[in-house]
Amino acid sequence: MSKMCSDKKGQLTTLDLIVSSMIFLSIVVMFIWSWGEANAVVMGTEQMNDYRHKAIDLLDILLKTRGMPEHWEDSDNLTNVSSIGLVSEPGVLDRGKLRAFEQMPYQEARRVLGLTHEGYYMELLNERNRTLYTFGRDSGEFITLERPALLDGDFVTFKLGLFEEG
Amino acid sequence: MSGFTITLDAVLALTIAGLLVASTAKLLSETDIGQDEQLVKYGYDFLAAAEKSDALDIVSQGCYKVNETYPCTERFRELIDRLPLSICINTTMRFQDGTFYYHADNVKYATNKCRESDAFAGVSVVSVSRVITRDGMVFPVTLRLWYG
Repeated sequence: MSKMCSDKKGQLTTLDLIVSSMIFLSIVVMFIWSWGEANAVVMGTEQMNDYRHKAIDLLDILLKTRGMPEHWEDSDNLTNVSSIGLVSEPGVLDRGKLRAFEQMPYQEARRVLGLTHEGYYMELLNERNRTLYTFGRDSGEFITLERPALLDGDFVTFKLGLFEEG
Repeated sequence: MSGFTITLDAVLALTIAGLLVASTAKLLSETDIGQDEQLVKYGYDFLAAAEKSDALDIVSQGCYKVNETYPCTERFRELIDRLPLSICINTTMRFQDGTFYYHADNVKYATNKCRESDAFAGVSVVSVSRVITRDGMVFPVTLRLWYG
């Protein structure tokens, strides 16, 4: 009889083991799942931040510098253009530069803007939200930023969208 | 003793795990740093463009606040009203000694956009300033911006 009791004790331990293993496994599964989710969020946020910083820098260059050379819009050979700026003075847009940028071939503009893996779409809107100029390709932007500027003394909004492009 | 017992080790392990989860969640929520940077740059550019377009010539337009109203149509207020709804702005202009002079915002109390209460409900608010001089007087202008 006493031998049978000791056998039951062994069975109880097995049940404990099964329950505790199930709890442990479910915790491990939950941990792996949440780790994957967190990793995806971090990667997505990191990519978004990369695009955002690139867009912020691009807007600074376009709206605060004249470009290199200063009168790049008059240049016949685009290979001599190393930087594009759209203003005559910081924040004040120049129509000549805007027209030249509008007519610039898309891939050439991407090269000068330093966009190796990104495509761009830009838009200039007047105070009544009507489009004055568009640049690049409208392909459903990954990120869009905007900045205020002046054109012929009027307040305008310059929008820049970036998206993934090989 | 049968069943599970919470030992000191388990309490310690659970506390550390909880701290790890909490700090990860906090870190994840703080990774959108670029958004504030964009808002700051937008604010500075807005003030610069407003000054260059003479929209900040509120002083010479005589837009003093009289009986809760401004007795003239200000270009600056028009500019603010035309801002995208996603960007909320609250402007205050002061005299050099710090006393209040002028205020304008695009806070709409009737809609869900740009509510003043948003600025105090955990929404990230950035502040930018510019000093303008008119008629020999100095007027610090402060802009508070947040996403609505």
